[in-house]
Amino acid sequence: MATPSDQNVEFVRTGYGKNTVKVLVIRREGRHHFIIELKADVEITLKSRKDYLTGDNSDIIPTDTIKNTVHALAKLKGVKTIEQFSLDICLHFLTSFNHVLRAKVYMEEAPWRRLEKNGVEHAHAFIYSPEACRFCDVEQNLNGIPVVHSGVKNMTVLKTTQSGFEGFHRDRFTTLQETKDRCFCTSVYARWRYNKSHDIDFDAAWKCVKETIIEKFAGPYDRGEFSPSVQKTLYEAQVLALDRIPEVDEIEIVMPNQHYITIDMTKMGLTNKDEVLLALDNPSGNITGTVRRKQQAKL
Amino acid sequence: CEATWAQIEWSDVCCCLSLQGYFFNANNPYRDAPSAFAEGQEKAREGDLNAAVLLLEAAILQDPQDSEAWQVLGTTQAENENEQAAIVSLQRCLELRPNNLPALMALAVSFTNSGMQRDACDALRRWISHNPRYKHLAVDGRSPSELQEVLLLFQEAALLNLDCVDPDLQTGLGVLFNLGSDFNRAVEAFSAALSVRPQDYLLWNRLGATLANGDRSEEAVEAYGRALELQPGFIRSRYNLGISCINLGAHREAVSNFLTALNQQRQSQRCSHQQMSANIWAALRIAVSMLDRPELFQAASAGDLDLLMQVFDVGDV
Repeated sequence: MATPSDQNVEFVRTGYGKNTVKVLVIRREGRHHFIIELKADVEITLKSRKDYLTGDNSDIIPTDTIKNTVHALAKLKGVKTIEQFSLDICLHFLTSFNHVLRAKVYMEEAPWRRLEKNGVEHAHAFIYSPEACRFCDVEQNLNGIPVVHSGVKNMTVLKTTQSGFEGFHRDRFTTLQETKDRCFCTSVYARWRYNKSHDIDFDAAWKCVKETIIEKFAGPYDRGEFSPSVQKTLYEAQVLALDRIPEVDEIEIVMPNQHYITIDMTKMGLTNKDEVLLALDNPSGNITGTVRRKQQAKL
Repeated sequence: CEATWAQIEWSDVCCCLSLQGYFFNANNPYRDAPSAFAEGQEKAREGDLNAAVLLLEAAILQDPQDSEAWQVLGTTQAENENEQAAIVSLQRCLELRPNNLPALMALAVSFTNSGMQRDACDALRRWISHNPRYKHLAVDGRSPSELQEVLLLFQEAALLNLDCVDPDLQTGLGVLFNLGSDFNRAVEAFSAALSVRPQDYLLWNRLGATLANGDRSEEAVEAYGRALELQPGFIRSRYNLGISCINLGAHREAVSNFLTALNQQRQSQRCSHQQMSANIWAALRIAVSMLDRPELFQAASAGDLDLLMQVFDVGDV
């Protein structure tokens, strides 16, 4: 029954699901075991809004079922990559029911690294190595094509030189000194979109983007590469990534600038030549950019 | 036929038929149609590309070894702006018939569009080595094809045609020049091909795309116009036209063109979740984003074709 306030309200968007569904999948090839541990957020949007409007639950697929579905699909389909598994989950919800309008999955992979010593791999032991977090998200509408994004986050890198910042705009509130040589520390976030969902080596693409960002940040190992700004380094990483992976159409990178400040020790009678620095917790600079491949005409 | 049916998997989680990477439409009304291939070819000629695809898929499901069906499916999917489907189909065709020249050329074009330079050059090299007129030029046991090597091969071949123009050879040259970003020479090559085949709408589109990628957008628009006059159902050319409209700042026209293309794709059969081209939706979103109408961008992101068609006054063709 419509109450007076219903007439003043219309839906913008709805969706519900289960967050933080975690599973560990083990694949055994004799004594050699492979693992992938993931954490998934799954959201679906139904055709009808009667659950919100009138409290009629008859269309609702319980979030508990959504959780069970993730478990069951991990067993039935296996998990080769988080991207493929996310695609499988979306496809399942859109094709197993006739009242689901849209499915979205966000997934993170736990950074387990197989133990290795002197080139010898351990058959079944791993160590948690969070040098970068791999994530992905897939969104698909009913009768639509899935859109896949992959990403890397919390990849923290630092270099002690080959970074400067000069020639910036000055006004009455500017006190920053120009510098030709500073530390550059950032925790990279990058997210990119593929132009298709079949036939992509997601592992290779992720590895390539991660390595490209590190390559542009660090430069050649003996002498590095000068960075006139975070913006320039960020852009160069994007251009190189798009160049190397034709299946990627668009990439967003966010690089906070985590500042290290040389501590003034003159009051202690010491001359600190940029040797002892203070890690500034806050604030931090935040540099962002998104580029996409220029639309090519098709022969 | 049992061995080949075993390869076609029916996924038990969802109802998709697939064969080594090609995903068939699930509810194909022409599934058991007799003479599906002939009808598919006819529909493709008429410009009803979606119906053509369904008929050709039916023909292949009836006989997965029909290399010609795979070939026509491949070229039709390319015209329908579904590059991935085109590539897979053409590759299946070439597995069955490695010397199929039209399939090799079409595959080279699709690889070029996908930024896969090495694979495009390889397909073109194979085109020469299987072409009775030119195969003596190809040295066997060559290492992976480099752009400059294959270009040289095609230029040598062109020298054999002193008083005539081989439009297919010129097409290969056009593709190679595109790969090397030598757009002016590519334009010359496609123009030469067109002098022999002025009614070939594929060539008009290739000329247009070359002009567009070489920043000659106005001339590109003219070329696409010729292609669409000859074949109004040519989805790829309409997509390209939309891209050029964006480049020329005519965003409303761009949106109109993309909507027309998507509507044409949808109209034919409403039975598949893969009918409409992801590329075209992506381009539409970009064009809409440039109009500064957030509610329309929302509609574009959600795939609401009906609403957009209403707003932009795009009727049923």
